[in-house]
Amino acid sequence: MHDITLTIIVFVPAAAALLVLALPVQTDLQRFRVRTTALFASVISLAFALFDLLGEVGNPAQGALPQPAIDAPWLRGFFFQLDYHLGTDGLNMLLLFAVTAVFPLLILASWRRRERYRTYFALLLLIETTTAGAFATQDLGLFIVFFWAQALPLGLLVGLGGQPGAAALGRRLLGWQSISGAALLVGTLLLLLRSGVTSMNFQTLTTVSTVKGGVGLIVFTLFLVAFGLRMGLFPLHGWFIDSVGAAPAPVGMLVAVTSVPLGVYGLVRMALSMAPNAALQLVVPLLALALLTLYWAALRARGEPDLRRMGAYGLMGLSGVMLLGIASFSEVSEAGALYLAFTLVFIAPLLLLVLGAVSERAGALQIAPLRGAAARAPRLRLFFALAAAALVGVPLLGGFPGIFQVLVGSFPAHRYATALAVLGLLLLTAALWRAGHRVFWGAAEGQAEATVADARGSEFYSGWGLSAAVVLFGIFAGYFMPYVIQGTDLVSARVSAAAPVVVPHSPGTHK
Amino acid sequence: MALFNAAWAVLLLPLLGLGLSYLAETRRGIALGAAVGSALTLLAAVVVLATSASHPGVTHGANLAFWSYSVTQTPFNAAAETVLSSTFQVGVGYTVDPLSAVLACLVAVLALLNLAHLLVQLHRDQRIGSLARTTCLLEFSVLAVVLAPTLFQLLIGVELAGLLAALLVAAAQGPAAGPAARRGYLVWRAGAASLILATVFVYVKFSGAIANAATGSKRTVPAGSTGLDFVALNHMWLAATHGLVTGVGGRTLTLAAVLVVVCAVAVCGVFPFHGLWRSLGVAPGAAGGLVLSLGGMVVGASLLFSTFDLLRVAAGVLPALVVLAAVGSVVAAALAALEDRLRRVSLWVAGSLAATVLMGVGLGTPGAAVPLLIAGTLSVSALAAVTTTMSRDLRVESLGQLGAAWRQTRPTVLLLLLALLACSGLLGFGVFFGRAEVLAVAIAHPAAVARPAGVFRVVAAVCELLSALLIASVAGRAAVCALRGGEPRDPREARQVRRNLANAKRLSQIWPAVTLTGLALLSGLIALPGVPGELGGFLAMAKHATVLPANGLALALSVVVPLAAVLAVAAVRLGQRPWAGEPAWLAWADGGRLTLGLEQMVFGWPARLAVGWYERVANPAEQAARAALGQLTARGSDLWRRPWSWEGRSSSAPLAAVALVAAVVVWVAATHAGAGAP
Repeated sequence: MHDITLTIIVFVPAAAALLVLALPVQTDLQRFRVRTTALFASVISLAFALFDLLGEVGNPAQGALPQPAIDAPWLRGFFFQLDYHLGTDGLNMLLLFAVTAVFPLLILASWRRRERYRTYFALLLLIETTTAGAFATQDLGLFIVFFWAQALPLGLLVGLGGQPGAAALGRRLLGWQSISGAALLVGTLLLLLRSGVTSMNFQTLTTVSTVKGGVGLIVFTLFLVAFGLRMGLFPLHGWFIDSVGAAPAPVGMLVAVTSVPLGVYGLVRMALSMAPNAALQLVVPLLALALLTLYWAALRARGEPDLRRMGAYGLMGLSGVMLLGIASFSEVSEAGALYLAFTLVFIAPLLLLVLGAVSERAGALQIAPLRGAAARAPRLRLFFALAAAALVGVPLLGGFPGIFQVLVGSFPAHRYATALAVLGLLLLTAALWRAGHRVFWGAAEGQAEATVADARGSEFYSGWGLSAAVVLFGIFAGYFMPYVIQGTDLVSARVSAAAPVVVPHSPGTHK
Repeated sequence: MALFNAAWAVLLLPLLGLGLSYLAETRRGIALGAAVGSALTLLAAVVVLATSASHPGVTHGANLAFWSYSVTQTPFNAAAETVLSSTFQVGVGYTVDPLSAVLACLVAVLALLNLAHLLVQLHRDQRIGSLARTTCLLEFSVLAVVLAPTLFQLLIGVELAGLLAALLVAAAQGPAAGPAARRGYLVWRAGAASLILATVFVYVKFSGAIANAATGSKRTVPAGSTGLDFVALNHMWLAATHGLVTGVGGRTLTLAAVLVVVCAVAVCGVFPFHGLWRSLGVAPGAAGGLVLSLGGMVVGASLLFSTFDLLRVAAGVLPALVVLAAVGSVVAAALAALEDRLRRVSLWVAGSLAATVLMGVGLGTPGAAVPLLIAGTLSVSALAAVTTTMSRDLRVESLGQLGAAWRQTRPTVLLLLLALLACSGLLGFGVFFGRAEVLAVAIAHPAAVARPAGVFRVVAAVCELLSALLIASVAGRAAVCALRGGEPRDPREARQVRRNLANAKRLSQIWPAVTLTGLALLSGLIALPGVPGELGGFLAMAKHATVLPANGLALALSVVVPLAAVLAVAAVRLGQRPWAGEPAWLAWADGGRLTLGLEQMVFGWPARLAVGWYERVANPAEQAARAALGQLTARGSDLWRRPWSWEGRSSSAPLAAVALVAAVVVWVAATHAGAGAP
């Protein structure tokens, strides 16, 4: 039963994509059928993912090892073995659930789309398959397949956006994500060749493979490039900002929810676990990169005139916080980073939904002419307030548990970096509030106010669902966190085992 | 004892009000629903206070955890530190002692009257629904702070209170509301960031020790302590001073205490964070500013009350707090004395009183600060309500307009003067006894729990008297302006003023402001010895050993000094508008320019540098590289097509061929390498 469950979660959207391509779209009713088919497929995936989640989270001990696993040989006869191996544990279960949960809402957010119906929804479903597949797999080879395959539908979707420069934007995204995939592939090949391991099973690779010295550094750096690109880390963030900021709002949301969590997951699951020695050697550059990302994002968001790009910089800032959590090598901070990635899957679409709606309806991308434009749209204002507050870690909202865990986990190891991260979050708050008060609370001027209507229909339901998720996962984080920590515990233990032996303080030492 | 369970109702009834407001359909119904929730909260708070008063010395608490899990962590570089091992628990709960019960009553009264004020003032306004709902949530947040049993709940309450108060300010109309809310929230969030760091720091440093103490053979803290509850933390802070907590010493305690104090100072808008008050002063709709100021005063003081044991044992923190608060008190009072605009006057007065409350805590006797906190919040609330009414209904914005107002709408101006009387503590009203108690601690009383050195107490006493003098001079100025001021000389302006003043409401129509002023005037009596129950002394005893009746010297000084100020102001010959216009240096002094300058320094030039670097260097370089690549791969490019193209058309075929060859080479090499391995 469990074996089929994960396969259903991953491949039902792909099957629905083929069905969608075969459906006619001449009349309104036919178009409605296309949308409903896409929604139905994603809801099926969500239902199965929820079933899995509830079955596993109740028993946190299951977070340590992959539970519902299917492991069948696929490619043999090379110097590596590639298996069809799916399974969930503390590291990936929540992210898998989040992806399946957010796609129905993304489909709802795209409900009023008019052009290229079949292509749009088919690509959307394919992206769900590749993203869910990347999270569900327990085999590095299969992960690379899904990871790289995601780039094509995503690039096409961005390229078909319809706005000026969409094709170039799509090509750019495809190019950068391909570089990311290539870096991962080269790193993996190097890892396999050097360690002499043939199996690409995560369990085997994290327990048997040992890459140290220069090769370990190269492998880790390649992994960092691969996943850092997806996270939008400085200085590899250009494509991310452009894609999220310039593509149509639902596509921008898609880029954010598929790329950043996958990058965080990859860094924890692969980079830290498979090259722990190199990770320890690079701890200072990693911290510098985390803080640079956070501060760069905050300062650029402060000076950014474009509303949606400002939102993209806000998301980039959180990537810096997540990297800080990862670079602290503590099970608590890594769990915080993963939980932050999990909640980001709901926060990012909510933020981009609002910003996209405002700029689209007001017909302006710049913040300045939007002054007070949404002052009389209370639902949009509420959604923005929730998303922005969750993004900067206001308690009882989605971002807070992850951020707090990151701070708690990183403080003992890097207290100054932690303090600087808190300051960076304050800068990010300033940037978001600046845009917020201008657009949502500022005095109305000119014609902009009349053009921005409040959220209605599918947009409202989508925003409402995302808001509910942001609040619920902020309040009930404790229900999920032990399960995640079970997963990160193993990663942290592996890094600690690679660390040089240290002498703890003797009891009674005062500081 | 079962009535202690009403504390849950105190905490949750504001949320019931929020729910009721969603059931209503009309604007007035929404506000009424919120007000009903607030009234029930007040009722529950009174029940809890009565129960608490009948069982003095009993502390009752409960906690509903929604995060709870075990976690053990040892950082990879454990040579630096070895930490944490505990059950991490986060939830909502309460601790009821007499002090927290009184503060809960205070918060409920203020929220109820504020909602009533909203109903009276804005019943035709579209925003009343969102304002009432936000007020309900704000009340919940401040109650969560006041009743907090854990440091974590304190953090949650502080963060939410700041956000909701800023949203209230931002909901006001006019272009100044947004910037005021933004600056106010940034100051608040700076404080909250400090509290986040303090929470993380305390958790990391103490949770392991608390877990050991809770489960050890000789259990020294209650079983199930979470590492962040105040009962266990107070025990551990004391134990740390005796060297009984591994890895924790004076430096740790001091750092944690400093972080808490920074938060309290920021949310109270005390120097150097006093720009908060100025920003709120320019915000239209003083209801938001009022709530933020009250939230600030109550939240900041509660924060210090809850963590007082830490402040007490941390070296040098209380004296630093005294100096900071003393300076802040005088600066804010001086700015109030120099200010012409009524709303800003009320906010500067609030800042000065908040600083004086902190000074009382810093002097080592939180009990002495409680009467001043209660009287101060009520007085400031009354003053803000009256100034809002005058500004909204009569368009009276400055002291210079009080003369004309006095002639036409005497009751409203009288109400303003009474509210100022309560704030200045003249003649025994309002904050008089609270100030006297703080002064008594500073100059005379030896019973403080942690008494700072003499020099700090002298500084506190001098600054307390100086700020009292300055605030009294504000009241005197207002009275003189009202009695001696005339109408504007320009006939057109005078006509306009008369027309505006004709809209004056009767006192019965502004009954929330009248009620608040009455409460403010009488609020000082809670500290007066001889009043049945002697609530001031009761409060003081319940929380910490402290002064009981203020001594004669403090009482005498508290009467004489403000009176002298009023008489001195009255004796000076006044012009038509003696305080009109704002000198340039004042804008620097009152924190506005300071805030702006800091904002420019922190956000301005680094942001410009980042943007400039990107626009002038990174972006052009990237564009040039992309253009060059595009030119190279362009379909018509001879450079690309001739040597490499597939039938002169495709540019990807040769690349694919090269990649394929490379892959084959790698594969063959790898296979050979694998074959050679044992």
